[in-house]
Amino acid sequence: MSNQKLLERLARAVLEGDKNSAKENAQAAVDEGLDPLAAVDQGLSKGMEVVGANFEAGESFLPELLMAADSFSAAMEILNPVIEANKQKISKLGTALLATVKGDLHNIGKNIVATVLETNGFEVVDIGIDQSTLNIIEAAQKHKADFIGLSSVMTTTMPYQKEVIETLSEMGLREKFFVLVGGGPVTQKWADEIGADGYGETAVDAVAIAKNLLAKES
Amino acid sequence: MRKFKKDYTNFQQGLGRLQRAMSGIPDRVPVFTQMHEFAMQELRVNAKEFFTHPDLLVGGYLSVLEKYAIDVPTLDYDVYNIEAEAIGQTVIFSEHDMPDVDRSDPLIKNRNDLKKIKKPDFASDGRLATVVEINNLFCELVGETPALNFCGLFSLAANIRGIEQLLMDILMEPDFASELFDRITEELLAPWILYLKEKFPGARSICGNDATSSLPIVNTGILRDWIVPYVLRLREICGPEIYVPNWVGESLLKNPEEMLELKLQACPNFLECQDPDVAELGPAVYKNYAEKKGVPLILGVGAGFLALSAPDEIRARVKYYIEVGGQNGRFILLLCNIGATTPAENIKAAIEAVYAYGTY
Repeated sequence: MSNQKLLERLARAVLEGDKNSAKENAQAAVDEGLDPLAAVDQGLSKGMEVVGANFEAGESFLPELLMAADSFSAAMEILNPVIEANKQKISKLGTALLATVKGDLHNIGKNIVATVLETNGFEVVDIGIDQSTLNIIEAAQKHKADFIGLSSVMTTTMPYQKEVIETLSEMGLREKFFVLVGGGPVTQKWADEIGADGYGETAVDAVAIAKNLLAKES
Repeated sequence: MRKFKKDYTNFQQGLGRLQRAMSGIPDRVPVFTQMHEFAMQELRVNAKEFFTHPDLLVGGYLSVLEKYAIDVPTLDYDVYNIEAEAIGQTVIFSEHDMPDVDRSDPLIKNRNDLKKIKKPDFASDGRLATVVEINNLFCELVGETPALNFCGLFSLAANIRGIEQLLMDILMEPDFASELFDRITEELLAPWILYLKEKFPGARSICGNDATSSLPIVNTGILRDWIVPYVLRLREICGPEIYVPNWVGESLLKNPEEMLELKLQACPNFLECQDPDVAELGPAVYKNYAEKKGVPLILGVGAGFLALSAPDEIRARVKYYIEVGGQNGRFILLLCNIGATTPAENIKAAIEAVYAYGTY
């Protein structure tokens, strides 16, 4: 089978959420000596891009995203050992530290963002829900994050997004991290008001914003 | 514990207005709301106190509804937690916000855990007895039986299994998901609802709260093949009073009517839709659909909008929804989930607009 065909099959497996096909075609890629990094970048990730675009367009929803991510992960289980054996490394676009702010127990939106970021080439560290400002900042430092993504689904917890940004400034760390905010009641107006670097209405927005910010920085 | 009024029978006027709006043209568009977090702040009590003390949940809540001239009295407690808590799911009570299940520790981790889903002891498990007490107190204070509430199947399953895990069960292990849904419906929800019906024979409606069954968390396929059938099953077991009105997300679809059709199967007697869908599609889409289907319409102004907008913006939106949705009657306005940070002036602006533009 030609490399191009294999890459297309890998992409389709992710797009269709077909875990078995993802595993079979990942194994075929290994067996035929296809560069595993190419299999990831030009195969699996291409499929994930389409899934993300479909999610954005209201043609796919969380179930499709989960199936795609599951297929992606299944293929990676086969490709990763080869990547490591070749002493290759999947270059990550950046590291995102995600958290739902203090007092907020919601996580589904944040989890969707995590999945979309991961499958678009970002390293994601998700420290979970109800996270204090200091926990968030310490984790961002520990994991050398490029971005801090803050989720708030209630108007009562939105002020903690502002608190994180203010605390970063007070600690002289504001310039070290891009801060992206999101969540049900959060708006661009709020993001501008609190000095966030970006606001994502959707998970796919988060990826685009993150890539743009990194591009501007470099 | 503070004392509240012993008589809220004045709310019967609002209930009458609601009844007339469901079938025709009332004197004015009725308005109802959920405002538990706002009410806690007004009453200056913390969340744990509010959600565990019947006199605060009922008397206190009714006093706040009355203060802000909300027509329709409702019981507004943490309906999403009650059945899950009763079978052993940990619920976290925080200082300021509505309690929520501990999503880091779902009750059902594997097939073996399914046996935890069983008919609870209604007198002693969780806060089931408190729910009976608050319904009784409502009857006493208002002189009418409230709508009874339960946690909708998918939301309940998500609360005890985890949303992502539940979706993967449906997609990858449908047998397990079926067994989970069967047990929740037949061992937990049906017995609880039938018990409530026995306690409150005057109840004319039994509302399933199921916001998790919304796009983009689910897709229309899951709604159609997994969620609607179980609503219908529950209706078969417990009676025609069962309805589930609050799925959202139709504005994400190329054809929103695909979801509105499903919503009507779950809630055949009226169509309830809210922002951001209504803001996105416009109220006319909903009014036209409701009139085509011959059902009354409820449109909800969103919580975020109510909290963050200026009073004039709120008046304008309420006016718009009433002018379009309220044509020929059969229209009710919902102010969605008024949070603690919502300025009081915003609620007053919404009610002023209802009076100014909603009188027939």
